[in-house]
Amino acid sequence: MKIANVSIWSSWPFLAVLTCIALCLLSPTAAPAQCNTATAAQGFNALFGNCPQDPQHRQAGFAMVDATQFGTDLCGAINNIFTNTTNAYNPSDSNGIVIDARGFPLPNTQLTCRTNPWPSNFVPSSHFSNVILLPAGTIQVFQKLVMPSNTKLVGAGSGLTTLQAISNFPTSPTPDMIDMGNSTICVTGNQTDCTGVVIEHLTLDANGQSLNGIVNTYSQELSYVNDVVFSNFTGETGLLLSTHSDNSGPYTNISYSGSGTCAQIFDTGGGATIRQTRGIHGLTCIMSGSGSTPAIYLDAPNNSLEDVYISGNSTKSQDGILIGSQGPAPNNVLFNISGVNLNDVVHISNKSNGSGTCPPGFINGVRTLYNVCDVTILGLTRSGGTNSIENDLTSPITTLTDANLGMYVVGEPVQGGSNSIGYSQFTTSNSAGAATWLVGSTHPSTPCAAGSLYSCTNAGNCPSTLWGCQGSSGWKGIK
Amino acid sequence: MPRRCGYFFPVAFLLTGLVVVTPKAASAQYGDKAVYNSSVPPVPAPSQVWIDASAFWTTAMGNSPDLCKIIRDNILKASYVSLYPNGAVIDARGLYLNPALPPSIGPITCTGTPFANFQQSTSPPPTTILLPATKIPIPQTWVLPNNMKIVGEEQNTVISPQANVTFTVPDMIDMGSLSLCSTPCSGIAVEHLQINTNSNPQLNGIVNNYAGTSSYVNDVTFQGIACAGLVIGEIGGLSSEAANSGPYTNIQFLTPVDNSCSGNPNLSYPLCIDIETQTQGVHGVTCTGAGSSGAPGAAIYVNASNNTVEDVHIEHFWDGVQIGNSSGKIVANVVVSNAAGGEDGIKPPSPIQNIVHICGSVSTGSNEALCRSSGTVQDVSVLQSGYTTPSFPLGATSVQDDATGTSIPVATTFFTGMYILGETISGGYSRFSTSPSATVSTGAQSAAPAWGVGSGQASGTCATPGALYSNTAGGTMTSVYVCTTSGWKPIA
Repeated sequence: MKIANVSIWSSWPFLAVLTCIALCLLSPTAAPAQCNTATAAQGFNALFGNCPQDPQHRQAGFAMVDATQFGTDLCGAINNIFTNTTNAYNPSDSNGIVIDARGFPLPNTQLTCRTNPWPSNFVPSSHFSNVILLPAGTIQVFQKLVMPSNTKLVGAGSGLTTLQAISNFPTSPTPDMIDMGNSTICVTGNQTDCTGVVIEHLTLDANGQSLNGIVNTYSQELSYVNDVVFSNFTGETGLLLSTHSDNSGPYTNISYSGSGTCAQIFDTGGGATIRQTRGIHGLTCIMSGSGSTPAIYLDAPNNSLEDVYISGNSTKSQDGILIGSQGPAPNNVLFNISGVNLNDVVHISNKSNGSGTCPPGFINGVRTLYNVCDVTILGLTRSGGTNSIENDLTSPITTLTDANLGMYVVGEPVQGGSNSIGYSQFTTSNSAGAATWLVGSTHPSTPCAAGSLYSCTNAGNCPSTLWGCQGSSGWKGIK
Repeated sequence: MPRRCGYFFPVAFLLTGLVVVTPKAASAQYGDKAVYNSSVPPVPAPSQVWIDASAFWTTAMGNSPDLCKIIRDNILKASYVSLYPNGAVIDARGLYLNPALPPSIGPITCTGTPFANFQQSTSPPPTTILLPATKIPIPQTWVLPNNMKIVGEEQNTVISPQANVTFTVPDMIDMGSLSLCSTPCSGIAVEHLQINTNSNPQLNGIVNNYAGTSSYVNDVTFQGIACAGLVIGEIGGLSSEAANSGPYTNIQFLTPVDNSCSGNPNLSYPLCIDIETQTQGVHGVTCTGAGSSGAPGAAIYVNASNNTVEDVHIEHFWDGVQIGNSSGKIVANVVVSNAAGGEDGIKPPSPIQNIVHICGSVSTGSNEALCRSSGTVQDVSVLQSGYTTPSFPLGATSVQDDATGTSIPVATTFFTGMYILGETISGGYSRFSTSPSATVSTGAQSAAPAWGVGSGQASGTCATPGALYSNTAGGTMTSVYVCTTSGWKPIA
């Protein structure tokens, strides 16, 4: 009876149950789907949550998917994520994915990339991004990688992650290791424009073959390359910016070693349609072999090349930067260019092209549209080799040999009557034959370069204030 | 009583057991990433450098997780300072993806702002928030506190204003605020995302008035904006706390809305970038205008000294880069490098009038349009300014200098290799240009005298009085010439 008199509402069991219920109610309750520890969570990170299915109440975090759970071949695993309708790639529900492949290689396997990580002709939703994180180590690459829009390929560092071409790397239809877009996936109607294609923090190793490293023919806004090394290239071009790469870049912190071409901005299709890039800033070219082709071809308008170091091959016969030899290249600016053992650190071509946009030059009534005009070079260093600058636009050809040069600017043809008599230019060079503007406080001394000016800032020391150099006749006071 | 004591011990045991089996160790917080610890054998333990916001996505939110509320109420709350004293990475990239749910999953939502608990004088420890690749509709300005970085998944992280919501401050994102930055803020950054205000256009994109060193914007697209994409140092000018911020890199501004915007009356809206203080520069920008804002609107205004604008491409604005549209101020030491523009031929034609426009009071006519205001502009270096398309309007220039009344007209050359405006001396300016503008009569426009160099004697007419010519072949009175109204005259 006493027992019958004990109220259930004040009993310990009831209080315990009540406490448990309260605890459950107070704790955040994860969505059941997030607690799925079966296939829906394949590859996702575990994090501490409140999943009752898991003994430790962990759940999947859907921010990043680990590619090691989808195959043994690095690129095959990534391809699987995109093609096998896994839960990781779910374009109907999401707008992006971060694929972490840094866990490769798996035990007893090699780091290989046997297929294109992105399915053939993969055109992701215009609202879909993908970021691929690559592991440190050397990854054997069996075929060209073609990157679609809004794709970011990120290594662990340019000295840490190496994509190495296998021997006999396929070179048809093009000998490229990575294409930033292609004609299939970047062309919509009359627009040719992939966007947001990014490559960072890795090395491309051509394995002693004649290959292109990165080719951008189709990607424009917000597409760039950063912290990339090109090594063991024996031909073709490390970084090739071609037809529709307008407004892409900047291309930063790039290094090349090999016997091909370090970098090239040129419409290889011959259309001369590149209007402008955001420049190459920070480029090192260590050239080898015995070729005489230049390290860098600049054959497009409106570009900036900044902080460039070029070491020529043993022949000392190649140029560092050749401007305008293949197509129109007006309006380019070069900052801080350093060359070692080069024939010319910078070589300005006098090639002409009927589609050029430079002001024409006229000689005896013949109108010529040269490829190059309006080039500004600020800060140039030559070590060894022959010339710091060769300018073929002038007649005779201008060759400057300064070891250090503050400024050389060549503008446009200057007219005298109906003929072009020279080019507007300015230089701080003291090379023989370079007309420059000197300033001093004493009487100018000979010899001097014909056409140079001298301003004397101390009237007490100079009978004239402004002088002109007449060559072998020395200085003549003008005023 | 004996029966009651008999219940006590089982119940206590039960409660103790509950505590033991609960996964939350003393330091474990929801969302902490699981990492194996040093036990033998190792067991998963919480890592406090990385918090996954999806752990707080509760069933109550249904298929539309509230990103702002999740971060604000569960992570960036008052206890964040003590729980994560060294800061953390808040990974919100998993807030859109729920594989077991049908495709009808709703869009992400946002109530308030993630930073509401840190809007006064206290900032959280250094924090990076990784945003998901989806549209995030926000109802109010995100004011980023000190050392706060928000990083999206490229252009598919789209921050947009909620429709029909009035923002108290007409900005999408503010880098710091007066109250948060009583000592200058630093380390505030916005990267890899898009700001799209199509649904509520009369807003600025990102405004930085208070964040200085180590504060930057990188890889950001502004779309559908009727006001300014990026504003730097609007408050305080050269002494703005935003001084020395930057660089501002890889910016895209496109499809703005031509809509009235109540901003600075001296500026035309929509505009791409407004620089009102010294920065570490703007490098890599494409600005595509609405095409109908007309004269004298500009894509990029540089109204403060000590700035660089590099690698820019501009379409559908009247001016590309306008320098010194600021009455009473001195704007000096500005470098513009590799600026190009034109008209892409896709939109209705509205090509650029001036690629670079230096403000002043001297009009050269020919459809030029003076800046709405001007002070003193000096020491400006333009290295490579170019017109990229064959079609151009009457009087278009690659450089228009209203301080001296100089034009470098596209009619004579598409490019300016170098144009340097120095300082005023004896009624003139120290200047240098490589544009001789020699082939076509420029009418009312005037070109800057240039220095030509060749290897023969000069004769005949010349275009620009005051220009020099040096003959590197030398000779008595055949070495140096000056251009006069009657042609080249030898002077040495």
